[in-house]
Amino acid sequence: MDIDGLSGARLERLLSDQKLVDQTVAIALSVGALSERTQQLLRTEPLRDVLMDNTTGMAEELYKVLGK
Amino acid sequence: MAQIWGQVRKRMMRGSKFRLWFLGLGVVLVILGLIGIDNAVAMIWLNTLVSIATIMGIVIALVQFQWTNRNRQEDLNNKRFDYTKQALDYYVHEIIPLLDYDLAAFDAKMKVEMAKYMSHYNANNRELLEYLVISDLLTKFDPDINDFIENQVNLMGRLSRLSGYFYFDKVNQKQVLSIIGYRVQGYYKHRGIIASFSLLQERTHINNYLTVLVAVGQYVNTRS
Repeated sequence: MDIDGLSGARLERLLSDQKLVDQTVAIALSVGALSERTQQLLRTEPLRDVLMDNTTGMAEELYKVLGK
Repeated sequence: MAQIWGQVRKRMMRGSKFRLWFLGLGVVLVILGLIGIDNAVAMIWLNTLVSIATIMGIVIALVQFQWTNRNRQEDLNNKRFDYTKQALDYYVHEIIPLLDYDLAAFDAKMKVEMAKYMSHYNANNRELLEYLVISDLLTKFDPDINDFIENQVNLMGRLSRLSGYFYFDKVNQKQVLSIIGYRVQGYYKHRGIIASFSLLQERTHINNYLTVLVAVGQYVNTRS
C-alpha cells in the first residue's frame, strides 16, 4: 500500500522542490494540452494553488458525502 | 399453627435480609459476651475478629472483582463479534460495489493526456506532471470523469466510516483484514487513484480513511 502517496506526503515532497516545480510548469505551458483555465492559473499562481483549485469540485463532493 | 410457623421460618431462613440480621445478632452477642470477660482477653478476641473480618472482606472483594471482570470480558468479546460482523456486512454491501468500478475509461483518458508530454517528461518530473494532468482532468465536465469523482468520493466516505471500527478497536482486526486486505490493496495500487486521493487529502485535510488503508498495508506486508 502506497501510504506515502495516498496521504499526500509524496506530493508535499515533490512540491517542496522548487526546481522541479518550475520545470513541470514550463513543460505544461510549452505543450499547452491542459485546459485553458488551468494554463491561465499556472501563469499567475503557484503550482500548489493550481492543484488545490482544480480539486475544489471533488472536495465539495466529498463534503456533501460526509455531510459537512 | 405449628405448620404455618414452620413455613414462615423456612422463608425467613432463605431470605438474605434474615441472614444478615442473624449475623448481626451473632456479632452483638459475641461483643456482649466479650464485655462480660476480662478486658485484656476481650481486646485480644476483638482484634482477632477485626483482622479476620478485614481479610475476609478483602478476599470477597477480590473474588467479586474477578467475577465482574470476567463477565465484562465476555460481554466485550460478544460485542467484538457483533461489530466484526457489522463491519464485514458494511464492506460487502457498501464498499465492494465501489471497488468493482471499472477504471478503464479514466485510464484511457489519462494515457491520452500523458502521451502529449511523452517527449518532455523524465523520471524526475513525470510524477508531478501526472498530478497536474490528473488535477486538470478532474475539472473537466465529462461523464466518465464525473463517474470517477463520484466513485472516489463515495469510496473515501465509506472507508472513513469503516476506519471507525479500526480506530476505536471495535473489531477482530485480523479477521476483517484477512477478508478485505488483498482486494483493497489491489485497488489502491492504481496511479490515478493514489494521485486523486492525495490531491483531495491536501485540499481537505480529511484523512480518516487512511486508518483502514494503513491497517491493510501493514497486514498485507506481514502476510507476503
